[in-house]
Amino acid sequence: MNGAKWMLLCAGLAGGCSAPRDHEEWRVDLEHATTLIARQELESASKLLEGSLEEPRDDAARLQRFHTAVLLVRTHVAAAFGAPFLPSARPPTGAEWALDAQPLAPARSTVAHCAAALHWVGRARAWYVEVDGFDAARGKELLPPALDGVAPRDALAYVQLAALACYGRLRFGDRVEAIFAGMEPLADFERCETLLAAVRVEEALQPWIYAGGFEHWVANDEPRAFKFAVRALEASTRTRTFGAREHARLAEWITHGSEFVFRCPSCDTLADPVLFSCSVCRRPTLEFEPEPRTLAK
Amino acid sequence: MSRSILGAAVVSCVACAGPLRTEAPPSVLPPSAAHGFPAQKLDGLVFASARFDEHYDEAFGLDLARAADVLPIAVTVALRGPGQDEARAWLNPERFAPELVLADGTTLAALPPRVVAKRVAERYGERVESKGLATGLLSPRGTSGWLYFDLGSHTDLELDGATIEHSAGGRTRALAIDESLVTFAITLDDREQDFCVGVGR
Repeated sequence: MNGAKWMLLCAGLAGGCSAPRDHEEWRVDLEHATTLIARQELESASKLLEGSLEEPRDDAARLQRFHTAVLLVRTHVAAAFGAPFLPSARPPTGAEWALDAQPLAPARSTVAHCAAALHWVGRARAWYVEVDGFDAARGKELLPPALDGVAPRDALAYVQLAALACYGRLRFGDRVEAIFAGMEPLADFERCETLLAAVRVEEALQPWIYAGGFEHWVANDEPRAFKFAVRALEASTRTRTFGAREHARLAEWITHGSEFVFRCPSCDTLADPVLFSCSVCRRPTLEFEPEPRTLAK
Repeated sequence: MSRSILGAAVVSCVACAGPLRTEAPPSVLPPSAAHGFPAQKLDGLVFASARFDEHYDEAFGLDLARAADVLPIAVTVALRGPGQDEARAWLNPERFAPELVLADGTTLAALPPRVVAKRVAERYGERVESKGLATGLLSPRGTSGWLYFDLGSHTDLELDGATIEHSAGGRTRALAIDESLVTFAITLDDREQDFCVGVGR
């Protein structure tokens, strides 16, 4: 056997022996993390995922790294809009500044989780370019069942929507608008709903995403903005994750602020921001039709 | 083909039977490619901006990170827009409670200027205290000053230029300061409002 063949054999032995082990180990970590997230054991999930990150040495590992970042986004989003675990440095009473006040146990910080989620959003976006177009059939060996059918572009769409919700929660309206304007499916209400379901956006994020749609359309297309406002308010009653100021703004706009009033096409009943179907005939509020306020009786 | 190459291949195969990974993670992960947060924001009537100046020592005459274990961030808070002159806004020292949120979610409390002043030599104390962001009623022109975020309460954080290195779980992550958030509470017309803004440079 000549030298070149020996080298190929050795390389094959080394590669064939180590690569599957590496990928399998990372796959197991991802599977465990998805289970932890589902159980709301978010701190453990975060530690596991961060610990599993390493510099990838091939395309398969790049795919796993990308999905690790996506799961870290999911973890911090679930914490930000549900069960935070990162401590806040702000004493509940501001005791650091009022030196005589009694120190209390630190609260948990939803803002910290939004920041962390957006940090991993940045990583996922950067790493997406390396995995776009990855052969989906190979995902079965590399990803747990919960992820192997998720195309990288769908995972990226989720990441963008998570970023939208986090920026909304932090009240960076320009960032919300930039994402909304950059995602073409969000422009249409029905397609937006389909996208949120397709990429499994957590319900807790949805009021913020629909509110982003409302803000996007309110200046130019109030009937379209109305649908986003109704859906944001409806989602907020289920999740209790929406901001009080944002809720008040949408409700006030429907009642007084819009240039239109919105009526049930069956029985003319006016839209009520706390009801999501007609109080008379039960027709969904989303089907209410606009009428210029100046013409309204 | 040398024996050493074959030997390396065999060693590699033996090694892969164990739990060790073939490539160790880099000791310092680079800062994220994301662009942080806007360093100024108008939220309702409240405007604020925050800035980290790497040459902050020129403002104080000493390196506060070394001398007092704090990270100084320059902050402006003001009211802007219709109603700014009528609104009653104040930074209530008992509720203000500013914090710095690093990109990985680590939070640092701000220390009152008088506490930081006690950490430095007496000749610098007055300057540190006078440059601190003043609390109390906001005038129509707003207020500008420095917030001093406490690095000393985190043994796992180390300031390195414009980044903070965070060691956790056997790794060190470099976090760009301009990917952080400054948060605080402001009382506006008797209602408390949480506010956050990014940190510019």
